[in-house]
Amino acid sequence: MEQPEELIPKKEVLRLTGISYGQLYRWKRLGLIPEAWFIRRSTFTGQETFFPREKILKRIADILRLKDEYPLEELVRLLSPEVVPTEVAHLDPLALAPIGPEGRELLWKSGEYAFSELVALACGAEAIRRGAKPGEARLLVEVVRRAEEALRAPTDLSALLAEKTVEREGLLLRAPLALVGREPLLLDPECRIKVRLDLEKVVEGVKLALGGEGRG
Amino acid sequence: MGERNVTISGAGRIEGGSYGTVKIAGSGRVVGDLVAEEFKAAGSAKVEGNLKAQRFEAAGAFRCEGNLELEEGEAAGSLKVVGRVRAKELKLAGSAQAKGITGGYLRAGGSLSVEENVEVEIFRLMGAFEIGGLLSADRVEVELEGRARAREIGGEKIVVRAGQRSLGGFLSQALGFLFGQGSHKELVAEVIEGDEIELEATQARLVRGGKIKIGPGCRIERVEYTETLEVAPGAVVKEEVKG
Repeated sequence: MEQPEELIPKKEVLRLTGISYGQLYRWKRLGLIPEAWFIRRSTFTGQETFFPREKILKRIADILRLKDEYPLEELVRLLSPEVVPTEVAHLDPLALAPIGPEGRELLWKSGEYAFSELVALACGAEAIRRGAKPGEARLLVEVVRRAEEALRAPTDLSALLAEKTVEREGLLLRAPLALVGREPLLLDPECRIKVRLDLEKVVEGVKLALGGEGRG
Repeated sequence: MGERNVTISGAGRIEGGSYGTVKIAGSGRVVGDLVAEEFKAAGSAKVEGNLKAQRFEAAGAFRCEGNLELEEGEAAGSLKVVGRVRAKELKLAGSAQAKGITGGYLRAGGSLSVEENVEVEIFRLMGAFEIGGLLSADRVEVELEGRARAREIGGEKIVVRAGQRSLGGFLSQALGFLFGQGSHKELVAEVIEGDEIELEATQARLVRGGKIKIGPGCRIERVEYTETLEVAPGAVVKEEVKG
Protein backbone atom coordinates (compact mmCIF):
# COMPACT_ATOMS: atom_id res chain seq x y z
CA MET A 1 0.00 0.00 0.00
CA GLU A 2 1.08 3.56 -0.62
CA GLN A 3 1.71 5.77 2.34
CA PRO A 4 -0.99 8.34 2.92
CA GLU A 5 0.24 11.77 1.93
CA GLU A 6 2.42 13.45 4.52
CA LEU A 7 0.97 16.73 5.78
CA ILE A 8 2.78 19.86 6.86
CA PRO A 9 1.35 22.69 9.00
CA LYS A 10 1.08 26.15 7.47
CA LYS A 11 3.54 27.71 9.86
CA GLU A 12 6.15 25.14 8.94
CA VAL A 13 5.62 25.89 5.23
CA LEU A 14 6.39 29.54 5.86
CA ARG A 15 9.42 28.74 7.96
CA LEU A 16 10.89 26.32 5.43
CA THR A 17 10.27 28.44 2.33
CA GLY A 18 10.76 31.91 3.79
CA ILE A 19 7.62 33.26 2.12
CA SER A 20 5.34 35.73 3.90
CA TYR A 21 1.69 35.38 4.90
CA GLY A 22 0.92 38.06 2.32
CA GLN A 23 2.45 35.93 -0.44
CA LEU A 24 0.72 32.75 0.68
CA TYR A 25 -2.71 34.36 0.75
CA ARG A 26 -2.10 36.25 -2.52
CA TRP A 27 -1.08 33.08 -4.31
CA LYS A 28 -4.12 31.28 -2.96
CA ARG A 29 -6.36 34.08 -4.23
CA LEU A 30 -4.80 33.86 -7.67
CA GLY A 31 -5.32 30.11 -7.77
CA LEU A 32 -1.59 29.37 -7.75
CA ILE A 33 -2.18 27.25 -4.68
CA PRO A 34 -5.36 25.21 -5.12
CA GLU A 35 -8.14 25.44 -2.57
CA ALA A 36 -8.06 21.63 -2.30
CA TRP A 37 -4.59 21.76 -0.77
CA PHE A 38 -5.76 23.74 2.26
CA ILE A 39 -6.67 20.97 4.66
CA ARG A 40 -8.24 21.99 7.94
CA ARG A 41 -7.63 19.64 10.83
CA SER A 42 -8.31 19.80 14.53
CA THR A 43 -5.27 19.94 16.77
CA PHE A 44 -4.92 20.41 20.51
CA THR A 45 -4.86 24.19 20.02
CA GLY A 46 -7.93 24.18 17.77
CA GLN A 47 -8.27 24.15 14.01
CA GLU A 48 -5.08 24.36 11.99
CA THR A 49 -4.41 24.39 8.26
CA PHE A 50 -2.19 21.72 6.77
CA PHE A 51 -0.91 21.11 3.25
CA PRO A 52 0.21 18.03 1.34
CA ARG A 53 3.91 18.38 2.10
CA GLU A 54 5.53 17.37 -1.16
CA LYS A 55 3.05 19.23 -3.37
CA ILE A 56 3.10 22.55 -1.52
CA LEU A 57 6.88 22.69 -1.19
CA LYS A 58 7.35 21.91 -4.88
CA ARG A 59 4.71 24.44 -5.91
CA ILE A 60 6.25 27.22 -3.83
CA ALA A 61 9.71 26.40 -5.16
CA ASP A 62 8.29 26.59 -8.71
CA ILE A 63 6.60 29.92 -8.04
CA LEU A 64 9.72 31.42 -6.48
CA ARG A 65 11.86 30.17 -9.36
CA LEU A 66 9.52 31.45 -12.09
CA LYS A 67 7.99 34.58 -10.60
CA ASP A 68 10.65 36.99 -11.85
CA GLU A 69 10.39 35.56 -15.34
CA TYR A 70 6.62 35.50 -15.79
CA PRO A 71 3.85 37.80 -14.62
CA LEU A 72 1.79 36.18 -11.85
CA GLU A 73 -1.29 35.79 -14.09
CA GLU A 74 0.82 33.84 -16.57
CA LEU A 75 2.12 31.64 -13.75
CA VAL A 76 -1.45 30.78 -12.83
CA ARG A 77 -1.93 29.35 -16.30
CA LEU A 78 1.34 27.46 -16.15
CA LEU A 79 1.07 26.02 -12.68
CA SER A 80 -2.44 25.91 -11.39
CA PRO A 81 -3.92 22.47 -11.98
CA GLU A 82 -7.40 23.92 -11.76
CA VAL A 83 -6.89 26.13 -14.78
CA VAL A 84 -6.80 23.88 -17.81
CA PRO A 85 -5.82 25.39 -21.13
CA THR A 86 -8.68 24.65 -23.52
CA GLU A 87 -7.31 26.16 -26.69
CA VAL A 88 -4.29 23.88 -27.03
CA ALA A 89 -3.93 22.17 -30.40
CA HIS A 90 -0.54 20.57 -30.50
CA LEU A 91 0.89 19.08 -33.69
CA ASP A 92 3.98 17.37 -32.34
CA PRO A 93 3.32 15.76 -28.94
CA LEU A 94 6.60 13.83 -28.99
CA ALA A 95 8.46 17.13 -28.67
CA LEU A 96 7.05 17.59 -25.17
CA ALA A 97 9.31 16.17 -22.47
CA PRO A 98 6.58 14.39 -20.46
CA ILE A 99 5.64 12.44 -23.62
CA GLY A 100 8.90 12.07 -25.54
CA PRO A 101 9.88 9.24 -27.90
CA GLU A 102 8.06 6.67 -25.74
CA GLY A 103 4.82 8.25 -26.93
CA ARG A 104 5.42 7.36 -30.58
CA GLU A 105 3.53 4.08 -30.44
CA LEU A 106 0.61 5.70 -28.65
CA LEU A 107 -0.26 8.39 -31.19
CA TRP A 108 -3.58 7.81 -32.85
CA LYS A 109 -3.75 10.70 -35.28
CA SER A 110 -1.42 13.03 -37.10
CA GLY A 111 -3.55 16.09 -36.42
CA GLU A 112 -3.90 18.42 -33.49
CA TYR A 113 -3.88 17.12 -29.94
CA ALA A 114 -5.99 18.85 -27.32
CA PHE A 115 -4.74 19.37 -23.77
CA SER A 116 -6.47 16.33 -22.25
CA GLU A 117 -5.15 14.21 -25.11
CA LEU A 118 -1.62 15.36 -24.37
CA VAL A 119 -2.12 14.47 -20.71
CA ALA A 120 -3.35 11.02 -21.81
CA LEU A 121 -0.27 10.54 -23.97
CA ALA A 122 1.99 11.65 -21.14
CA CYS A 123 0.38 9.00 -18.89
CA GLY A 124 0.88 6.30 -21.51
CA ALA A 125 4.49 7.31 -22.17
CA GLU A 126 5.26 7.37 -18.46
CA ALA A 127 3.73 3.90 -18.08
CA ILE A 128 6.02 2.63 -20.85
CA ARG A 129 9.01 4.19 -19.12
CA ARG A 130 7.98 2.28 -16.01
CA GLY A 131 7.90 -1.01 -17.87
CA ALA A 132 4.38 -1.29 -19.23
CA LYS A 133 3.80 -2.86 -22.65
CA PRO A 134 2.52 -0.56 -25.43
CA GLY A 135 -0.80 -2.43 -25.50
CA GLU A 136 -1.32 -1.74 -21.79
CA ALA A 137 -0.20 1.86 -22.12
CA ARG A 138 -2.77 2.35 -24.89
CA LEU A 139 -5.51 1.25 -22.49
CA LEU A 140 -4.35 3.91 -20.07
CA VAL A 141 -4.34 6.56 -22.81
CA GLU A 142 -7.88 5.59 -23.78
CA VAL A 143 -9.25 5.99 -20.29
CA VAL A 144 -7.43 9.24 -19.46
CA ARG A 145 -8.63 10.81 -22.74
CA ARG A 146 -12.18 10.21 -21.59
CA ALA A 147 -11.57 11.85 -18.21
CA GLU A 148 -11.40 15.36 -19.70
CA GLU A 149 -13.86 16.82 -17.19
CA ALA A 150 -12.16 15.25 -14.17
CA LEU A 151 -8.80 16.65 -15.31
CA ARG A 152 -10.02 20.14 -14.51
CA ALA A 153 -9.70 19.34 -10.80
CA PRO A 154 -6.89 16.80 -10.76
CA THR A 155 -6.07 16.92 -7.04
CA ASP A 156 -6.22 13.33 -5.70
CA LEU A 157 -6.97 12.00 -9.17
CA SER A 158 -5.01 8.88 -10.09
CA ALA A 159 -4.57 6.85 -13.25
CA LEU A 160 -3.89 3.18 -12.62
CA LEU A 161 -2.65 0.41 -14.78
CA ALA A 162 -3.27 -2.95 -13.17
CA GLU A 163 -3.38 -6.57 -14.02
CA LYS A 164 -6.05 -8.98 -12.92
CA THR A 165 -5.13 -12.61 -12.49
CA VAL A 166 -7.84 -15.25 -12.36
CA GLU A 167 -7.19 -18.92 -11.79
CA ARG A 168 -9.87 -21.35 -12.94
CA GLU A 169 -9.35 -25.11 -13.08
CA GLY A 170 -5.63 -24.88 -13.49
CA LEU A 171 -5.86 -22.16 -16.11
CA LEU A 172 -4.23 -18.87 -15.31
CA LEU A 173 -5.75 -15.84 -16.99
CA ARG A 174 -4.12 -12.43 -16.88
CA ALA A 175 -5.86 -9.36 -18.18
CA PRO A 176 -4.66 -5.75 -18.03
CA LEU A 177 -7.00 -3.03 -16.86
CA ALA A 178 -6.75 0.74 -16.68
CA LEU A 179 -8.79 3.18 -14.65
CA VAL A 180 -9.01 6.80 -13.57
CA GLY A 181 -10.48 7.80 -10.24
CA ARG A 182 -10.07 9.76 -7.06
CA GLU A 183 -7.99 8.40 -4.25
CA PRO A 184 -8.40 6.35 -2.13
CA LEU A 185 -8.99 3.80 -4.90
CA LEU A 186 -9.58 0.22 -3.88
CA LEU A 187 -9.15 -2.77 -6.15
CA ASP A 188 -10.02 -6.36 -5.39
CA PRO A 189 -7.17 -8.62 -4.23
CA GLU A 190 -6.93 -10.37 -7.58
CA CYS A 191 -5.61 -7.14 -9.06
CA ARG A 192 -1.99 -6.07 -8.99
CA ILE A 193 -1.25 -2.41 -9.60
CA LYS A 194 1.60 -2.02 -12.07
CA VAL A 195 1.62 1.75 -12.53
CA ARG A 196 0.00 4.40 -10.40
CA LEU A 197 0.18 7.98 -11.70
CA ASP A 198 -0.74 11.13 -9.80
CA LEU A 199 -2.68 13.03 -12.48
CA GLU A 200 -2.11 16.34 -10.76
CA LYS A 201 1.61 15.91 -11.37
CA VAL A 202 1.12 14.79 -14.95
CA VAL A 203 -1.13 17.76 -15.69
CA GLU A 204 1.43 20.09 -14.16
CA GLY A 205 4.25 18.51 -16.17
CA VAL A 206 2.40 18.91 -19.45
CA LYS A 207 1.53 22.52 -18.63
CA LEU A 208 5.09 23.40 -17.81
CA ALA A 209 6.30 21.75 -21.02
CA LEU A 210 3.72 23.69 -23.06
CA GLY A 211 4.62 26.92 -21.29
CA GLY A 212 8.32 26.41 -21.93
CA GLU A 213 7.59 25.86 -25.61
CA GLY A 214 5.47 28.97 -25.90
CA ARG A 215 8.51 31.00 -24.97
CA GLY A 216 10.47 29.36 -27.78
CA MET B 1 -23.51 43.48 -32.35
CA GLY B 2 -25.90 46.41 -32.19
CA GLU B 3 -25.96 48.10 -28.83
CA ARG B 4 -29.47 48.23 -27.49
CA ASN B 5 -30.26 50.65 -24.73
CA VAL B 6 -33.25 50.24 -22.54
CA THR B 7 -34.89 52.32 -19.85
CA ILE B 8 -37.62 51.41 -17.43
CA SER B 9 -39.36 54.32 -15.73
CA GLY B 10 -42.12 53.49 -13.38
CA ALA B 11 -42.63 49.76 -13.37
CA GLY B 12 -41.62 47.26 -15.99
CA ARG B 13 -39.67 44.24 -17.03
CA ILE B 14 -37.09 43.47 -19.66
CA GLU B 15 -35.77 40.27 -21.13
CA GLY B 16 -32.17 39.29 -20.52
CA GLY B 17 -29.63 39.57 -23.30
CA SER B 18 -26.90 41.91 -24.33
CA TYR B 19 -27.35 45.67 -23.94
CA GLY B 20 -25.45 48.90 -24.02
CA THR B 21 -27.06 50.78 -21.16
CA VAL B 22 -29.82 49.52 -18.93
CA LYS B 23 -31.53 52.09 -16.71
CA ILE B 24 -34.19 51.35 -14.19
CA ALA B 25 -35.93 54.15 -12.33
CA GLY B 26 -38.77 52.98 -10.19
CA SER B 27 -39.29 49.27 -10.10
CA GLY B 28 -37.81 46.91 -12.67
CA ARG B 29 -37.32 43.25 -13.27
CA VAL B 30 -34.85 41.59 -15.63
CA VAL B 31 -35.81 38.09 -16.70
CA GLY B 32 -32.81 35.95 -17.61
CA ASP B 33 -29.07 36.64 -17.83
CA LEU B 34 -28.06 40.17 -18.62
CA VAL B 35 -24.85 41.53 -20.10
CA ALA B 36 -24.55 45.29 -20.18
CA GLU B 37 -21.94 47.97 -20.65
CA GLU B 38 -23.69 49.96 -18.01
CA PHE B 39 -26.39 49.06 -15.52
CA LYS B 40 -28.03 51.78 -13.46
CA ALA B 41 -30.88 51.25 -11.09
CA ALA B 42 -32.62 53.59 -8.71
CA GLY B 43 -35.53 52.31 -6.70
CA SER B 44 -36.04 48.62 -6.73
CA ALA B 45 -34.44 46.29 -9.25
CA LYS B 46 -34.27 42.56 -9.55
CA VAL B 47 -32.25 40.46 -11.97
CA GLU B 48 -33.52 36.91 -12.29
CA GLY B 49 -30.28 35.46 -13.60
CA ASN B 50 -26.63 36.46 -13.86
CA LEU B 51 -25.57 40.03 -14.42
CA LYS B 52 -22.35 41.05 -16.08
CA ALA B 53 -21.62 44.73 -16.44
CA GLN B 54 -18.70 47.07 -17.01
CA ARG B 55 -20.26 49.77 -14.89
CA PHE B 56 -22.86 49.14 -12.24
CA GLU B 57 -24.76 51.56 -10.06
CA ALA B 58 -27.62 50.69 -7.77
CA ALA B 59 -29.42 52.92 -5.33
CA GLY B 60 -32.26 51.54 -3.31
CA ALA B 61 -32.95 47.83 -3.29
CA PHE B 62 -31.15 45.59 -5.72
CA ARG B 63 -31.37 41.84 -5.93
CA CYS B 64 -29.60 39.42 -8.25
CA GLU B 65 -30.62 35.76 -8.30
CA GLY B 66 -27.40 34.62 -9.96
CA ASN B 67 -23.81 35.84 -10.03
CA LEU B 68 -22.72 39.43 -10.39
CA GLU B 69 -19.62 40.16 -12.43
CA LEU B 70 -18.45 43.77 -12.62
CA GLU B 71 -15.55 45.91 -13.61
CA GLU B 72 -16.67 48.80 -11.48
CA GLY B 73 -19.64 48.83 -9.19
CA GLU B 74 -21.32 51.07 -6.65
CA ALA B 75 -24.32 50.23 -4.54
CA ALA B 76 -26.13 52.27 -1.94
CA GLY B 77 -29.00 50.85 0.02
CA SER B 78 -29.53 47.14 0.00
CA LEU B 79 -27.68 44.75 -2.31
CA LYS B 80 -28.53 41.08 -2.30
CA VAL B 81 -26.72 38.63 -4.53
CA VAL B 82 -27.72 35.00 -4.26
CA GLY B 83 -24.59 33.87 -6.11
CA ARG B 84 -21.06 35.18 -6.07
CA VAL B 85 -19.76 38.66 -6.76
CA ARG B 86 -16.65 39.23 -8.79
CA ALA B 87 -15.56 42.83 -9.19
CA LYS B 88 -12.40 44.76 -10.00
CA GLU B 89 -13.67 47.66 -7.95
CA LEU B 90 -16.68 47.66 -5.71
CA LYS B 91 -18.01 50.33 -3.37
CA LEU B 92 -20.86 49.50 -1.07
CA ALA B 93 -22.88 51.64 1.28
CA GLY B 94 -25.68 50.22 3.34
CA SER B 95 -26.23 46.54 3.63
CA ALA B 96 -24.85 43.96 1.24
CA GLN B 97 -25.27 40.21 1.05
CA ALA B 98 -23.62 37.61 -1.19
CA LYS B 99 -22.48 34.04 -1.23
CA GLY B 100 -18.87 35.01 -1.94
CA ILE B 101 -16.87 38.00 -3.12
CA THR B 102 -13.65 38.03 -5.12
CA GLY B 103 -11.91 40.86 -6.85
CA GLY B 104 -9.60 43.81 -6.55
CA TYR B 105 -10.73 46.70 -4.42
CA LEU B 106 -13.65 46.45 -2.04
CA ARG B 107 -14.81 49.36 0.06
CA ALA B 108 -17.84 49.02 2.23
CA GLY B 109 -19.62 51.24 4.68
CA GLY B 110 -22.40 49.58 6.57
CA SER B 111 -22.94 45.90 6.98
CA LEU B 112 -21.64 43.09 4.85
CA SER B 113 -22.81 39.52 5.06
CA VAL B 114 -21.05 36.81 3.08
CA GLU B 115 -21.70 33.10 3.39
CA GLU B 116 -18.33 31.88 2.15
CA ASN B 117 -15.06 33.73 1.41
CA VAL B 118 -14.14 37.30 0.63
CA GLU B 119 -10.89 37.33 -1.32
CA VAL B 120 -9.79 40.68 -2.72
CA GLU B 121 -6.65 42.75 -3.02
CA ILE B 122 -7.78 45.59 -0.80
CA PHE B 123 -10.59 45.37 1.74
CA ARG B 124 -11.73 48.54 3.50
CA LEU B 125 -14.78 48.42 5.67
CA MET B 126 -16.39 50.71 8.14
CA GLY B 127 -19.23 49.04 9.94
CA ALA B 128 -19.98 45.44 10.66
CA PHE B 129 -19.62 42.15 8.85
CA GLU B 130 -20.34 38.47 9.01
CA ILE B 131 -18.10 36.30 6.84
CA GLY B 132 -18.61 32.55 7.05
CA GLY B 133 -15.21 31.60 5.67
CA LEU B 134 -11.97 33.38 4.96
CA LEU B 135 -11.43 37.10 4.62
CA SER B 136 -8.23 37.55 2.68
CA ALA B 137 -6.62 40.64 1.16
CA ASP B 138 -3.20 42.22 0.80
CA ARG B 139 -4.58 44.96 3.01
CA VAL B 140 -7.48 44.49 5.37
CA GLU B 141 -8.61 47.72 7.01
CA VAL B 142 -11.58 47.58 9.30
CA GLU B 143 -13.17 50.26 11.39
CA LEU B 144 -15.64 48.56 13.67
CA GLU B 145 -19.02 50.15 14.14
CA GLY B 146 -20.75 47.01 15.28
CA ARG B 147 -20.23 43.28 15.48
CA ALA B 148 -17.93 41.62 13.01
CA ARG B 149 -17.21 37.97 12.55
CA ALA B 150 -15.04 35.90 10.21
CA ARG B 151 -13.75 32.38 10.52
CA GLU B 152 -10.28 33.37 9.35
CA ILE B 153 -8.56 36.56 8.28
CA GLY B 154 -5.32 36.47 6.33
CA GLY B 155 -3.16 38.81 4.33
CA GLU B 156 -0.15 41.06 4.28
CA LYS B 157 -1.34 43.88 6.48
CA ILE B 158 -4.37 43.71 8.74
CA VAL B 159 -5.59 46.69 10.73
CA VAL B 160 -8.70 46.58 12.89
CA ARG B 161 -9.81 49.63 14.87
CA ALA B 162 -12.75 50.27 17.10
CA GLY B 163 -14.63 53.08 15.37
CA GLN B 164 -15.02 56.43 17.07
CA ARG B 165 -18.44 57.22 15.56
CA SER B 166 -17.84 60.91 15.77
CA LEU B 167 -19.52 61.34 12.45
CA GLY B 168 -22.45 63.64 12.31
CA GLY B 169 -25.58 63.61 10.30
CA PHE B 170 -26.94 61.05 7.98
CA LEU B 171 -24.15 58.48 8.06
CA SER B 172 -24.20 58.32 11.81
CA GLN B 173 -27.97 57.91 11.79
CA ALA B 174 -27.77 55.24 9.13
CA LEU B 175 -25.15 53.30 11.04
CA GLY B 176 -27.19 53.61 14.19
CA PHE B 177 -30.15 52.24 12.34
CA LEU B 178 -28.18 49.35 10.91
CA PHE B 179 -26.38 48.26 14.04
CA GLY B 180 -28.63 49.50 16.77
CA GLN B 181 -27.63 52.43 18.94
CA GLY B 182 -24.73 51.68 21.20
CA SER B 183 -24.27 48.22 19.72
CA HIS B 184 -21.14 46.40 20.65
CA LYS B 185 -18.04 47.07 18.59
CA GLU B 186 -16.20 43.81 18.42
CA LEU B 187 -14.49 41.50 15.96
CA VAL B 188 -14.51 37.78 16.57
CA ALA B 189 -12.34 35.46 14.48
CA GLU B 190 -10.76 32.08 14.98
CA VAL B 191 -7.46 32.82 13.33
CA ILE B 192 -5.85 36.05 12.12
CA GLU B 193 -2.63 35.79 10.13
CA GLY B 194 -0.57 38.50 8.51
CA ASP B 195 2.88 39.95 8.13
CA GLU B 196 1.75 43.07 9.97
CA ILE B 197 -1.23 43.03 12.29
CA GLU B 198 -2.77 45.78 14.42
CA LEU B 199 -5.88 44.93 16.37
CA GLU B 200 -8.38 46.61 18.65
CA ALA B 201 -11.55 45.19 20.20
CA THR B 202 -10.83 41.76 18.80
CA GLN B 203 -11.38 38.29 20.15
CA ALA B 204 -9.40 35.50 18.53
CA ARG B 205 -8.08 32.09 19.33
CA LEU B 206 -4.86 32.57 17.39
CA VAL B 207 -3.09 35.63 16.00
CA ARG B 208 0.00 34.84 14.04
CA GLY B 209 2.45 36.88 12.05
CA GLY B 210 5.55 39.05 11.88
CA LYS B 211 4.90 42.41 13.57
CA ILE B 212 1.93 42.36 15.86
CA LYS B 213 0.20 45.05 17.94
CA ILE B 214 -2.56 43.95 20.25
CA GLY B 215 -4.55 47.01 21.23
CA PRO B 216 -7.20 47.90 23.79
CA GLY B 217 -10.22 45.68 24.12
CA CYS B 218 -8.52 42.59 22.70
CA ARG B 219 -8.72 39.14 24.14
CA ILE B 220 -6.43 36.69 22.34
CA GLU B 221 -5.81 33.10 23.36
CA ARG B 222 -2.46 32.73 21.68
CA VAL B 223 -0.12 35.02 19.76
CA GLU B 224 2.69 33.62 17.64
CA TYR B 225 5.06 36.21 16.22
CA THR B 226 8.38 36.21 14.43
CA GLU B 227 9.47 39.86 14.78
CA THR B 228 7.78 42.11 17.34
CA LEU B 229 4.83 42.04 19.69
CA GLU B 230 3.27 44.96 21.53
CA VAL B 231 0.41 44.44 23.92
CA ALA B 232 -1.53 47.49 25.11
CA PRO B 233 -2.50 47.82 28.74
CA GLY B 234 -5.91 46.33 29.23
CA ALA B 235 -5.53 43.83 26.41
CA VAL B 236 -5.44 40.17 27.30
CA VAL B 237 -3.05 37.74 25.66
CA LYS B 238 -3.07 34.36 27.33
CA GLU B 239 -0.05 32.90 25.62
CA GLU B 240 2.81 34.45 23.63
CA VAL B 241 5.19 32.45 21.51
CA LYS B 242 8.11 33.88 19.59
CA GLY B 243 9.51 32.10 16.56
